[in-house]
Amino acid sequence: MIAGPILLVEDNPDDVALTLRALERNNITNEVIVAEDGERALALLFEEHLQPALILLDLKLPRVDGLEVLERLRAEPVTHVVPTVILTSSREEEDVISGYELGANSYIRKPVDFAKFVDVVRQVGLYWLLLNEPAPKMVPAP
Amino acid sequence: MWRVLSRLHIGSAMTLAPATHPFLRRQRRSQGWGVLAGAAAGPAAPPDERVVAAVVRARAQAALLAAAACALALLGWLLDSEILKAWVHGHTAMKTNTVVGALALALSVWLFERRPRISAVLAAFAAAVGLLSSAEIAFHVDFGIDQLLAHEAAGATATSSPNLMAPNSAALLVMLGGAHLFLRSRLAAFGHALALLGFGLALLGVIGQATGTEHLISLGHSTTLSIPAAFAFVLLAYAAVFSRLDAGVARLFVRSGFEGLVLRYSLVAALAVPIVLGFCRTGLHGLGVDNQTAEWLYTVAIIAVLVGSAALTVRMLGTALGAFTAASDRLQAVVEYSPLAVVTLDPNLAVTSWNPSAERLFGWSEEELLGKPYPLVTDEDWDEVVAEAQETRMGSTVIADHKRRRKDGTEVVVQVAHAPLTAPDGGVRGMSLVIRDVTEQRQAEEALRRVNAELEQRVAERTAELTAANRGLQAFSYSVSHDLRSPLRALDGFSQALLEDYGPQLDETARDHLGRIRGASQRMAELIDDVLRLSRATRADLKRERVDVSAVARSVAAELALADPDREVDVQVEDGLVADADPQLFRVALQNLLENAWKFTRDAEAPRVEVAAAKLDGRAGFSVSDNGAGFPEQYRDKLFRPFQRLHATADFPGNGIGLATVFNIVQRHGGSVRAESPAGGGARFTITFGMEASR
Repeated sequence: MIAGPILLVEDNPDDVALTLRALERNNITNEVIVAEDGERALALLFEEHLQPALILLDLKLPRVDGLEVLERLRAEPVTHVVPTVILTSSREEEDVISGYELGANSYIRKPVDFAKFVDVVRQVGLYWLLLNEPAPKMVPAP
Repeated sequence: MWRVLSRLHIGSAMTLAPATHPFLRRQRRSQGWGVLAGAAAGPAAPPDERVVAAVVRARAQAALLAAAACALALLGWLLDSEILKAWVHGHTAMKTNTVVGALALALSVWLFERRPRISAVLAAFAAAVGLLSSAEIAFHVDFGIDQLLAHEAAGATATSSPNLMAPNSAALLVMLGGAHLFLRSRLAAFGHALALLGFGLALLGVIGQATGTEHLISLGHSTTLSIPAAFAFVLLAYAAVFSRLDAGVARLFVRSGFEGLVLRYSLVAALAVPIVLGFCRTGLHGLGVDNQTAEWLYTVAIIAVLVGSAALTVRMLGTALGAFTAASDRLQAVVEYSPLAVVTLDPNLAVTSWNPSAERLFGWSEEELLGKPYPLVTDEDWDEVVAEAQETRMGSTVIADHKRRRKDGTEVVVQVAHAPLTAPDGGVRGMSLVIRDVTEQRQAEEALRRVNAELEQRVAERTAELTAANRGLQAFSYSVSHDLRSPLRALDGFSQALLEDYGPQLDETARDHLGRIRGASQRMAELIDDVLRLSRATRADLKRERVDVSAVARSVAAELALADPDREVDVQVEDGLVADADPQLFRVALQNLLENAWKFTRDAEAPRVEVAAAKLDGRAGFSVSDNGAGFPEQYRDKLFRPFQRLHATADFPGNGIGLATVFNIVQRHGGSVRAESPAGGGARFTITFGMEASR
């Protein structure tokens, strides 16, 4: 399994708790860093130079929304290949299209049924942290 | 009709009124007069093609006849025959040089157009012969040219010197030869004058011969003009006068219309009458009738001819006048009873006619206006009228809308067709105005335009409102899909967490409650999804395409089978079904119908769902039928209402949104849907998608 933290961008504490529980249930032991809004996520990535193995991104966020975060991190060389999975409540066609256009690796709708959610998280972790071969690390210029 | 009228208008300029009308003294208005009057001197009436052809033919024949006379004379000299040389015993012979000169002239006429250079050389030769002979006669010298061709003994009849031509002949050779030369040059007018002069001289010779008037054919002691020469020269002079038809007298003569006709008749009469009568008088002398009686008879004959010709002219005029009157009456009737106002103006823009419709429309009567200035134009409009008059002058018809004032001062919108009244010579004699009252029409159009504009405005407002409402709805559903689901997820997730973490500490009832909480949240989530789908069906943009109904039906059926692998349903889909519909909305509709069929055949013994071609209200569509539970027929109308359910949730789960969504989608396509549940059980839904779908 690829080491490195998972960045969970999610403003709803319930969802944060459930996601953490689902990760735990699936024995995904990577450190999880939570950003409760888009601004915080950007700060973590570009000011604190966090290099996550995977970003789980909600779309409807206070201040800076998920699509904008995605756009910004795809524009920066340090983050533009980091696997980013949109994990959100809606499946509005517009959101799906914009998500992929801005370079999301995957678009997943959070199921209400927790059992299904656990299964989704298992598959995401399995795929992005185990099966998928990540791009070589991009080291930011000194 | 106008043709008849215009042909009878002799002298177009006569109808031009003098520029003395009081209102024309105003400078601006006199502009209008100038505009129209300037056109009066237009191009002349065109030549009459038939006359031109006849004249040209006669010209060639004249040259031929003259040449024949010359040839006979030449033969006479060879054979020494007095008859051939002089035609009448005791008269002068046609001298050889006259013969040669006249022959050259005849050839020159013959070749005038075909070989201009040879023709000119021949004419010059004839003129030279004439000039030399004139010099001999005038200065009593002998250049030795007279006897070159044939010898004449001294003392020949009325001959000054042997074989020396008459001075008339010499002069005619010079004139006609010169005329031919000048007619080709820029001095064509001079050539014409020479030709005419020659014609006059030759005519005098002929008349002199005809009437036996000595001093018309001989001058002093010089040679007398011979009969053959007089004959040949009058023909040659005619040919010279008519050698060019595009200028001079010839042009007037060949003109079409009454003018040319009268000129031609008069000319023929003026030439023929004295000649014929002259011959007659000579004949009477021969019969021994004394001079006085002959003079009487001659005078009476002339008067008779004049009376006859006057009678003929009157008759012709009478016929023409009859035609004119008939045409004029017809025109009068047309104008009189025309529902349109018809007005004619002279070039001064004074009224020359004003029909009853014009009186009804504007209030003035014809009596008040005849000869008075056109009353419908104010000073402000004058420039416009001048501009249109100018167009009219160019010969075009102008149709335009104008505001005009009636006699009582009220305003009227009229459509006016201006057209020039042209004279036969192409000039403008005035203009005609056909005027239609379009006030009501324009008002109606204006009202219609206003209503349209208002309607458009209203549509724009409504569209803006609807767009705003739609945007609001979109934002609302977006927010619903995000925010309403999160709490449900928490409900379900934490209930599950409780079950997992504290399950052993809870009793059966507590676990059952938690299970119910989870079930309810999941149903709520589904409900939200369905409501969103319904709203999307209502507001999504419609993009019509040809949809393969059979393929979509099979794909949906396969999904249903995959999601519910425990059931076995026989799904029959007819091949080749198509519809013109929005592909996404269409799939949603078909999915709802097939899901229902799938759901309600749960308890059937051999569940069967069929998709087949069908007709609804004469339009092609397709049906989805099953052999499931069906529905009570009396509730058929409620079937498509949102949240309306006909079965208990315990029997068949659902929220009553699926068919409402189908109804919305079909309605947005302009199609229709019908539900049937036959007594034998099962349900059948038939739908069409507005535009003709075929198999």
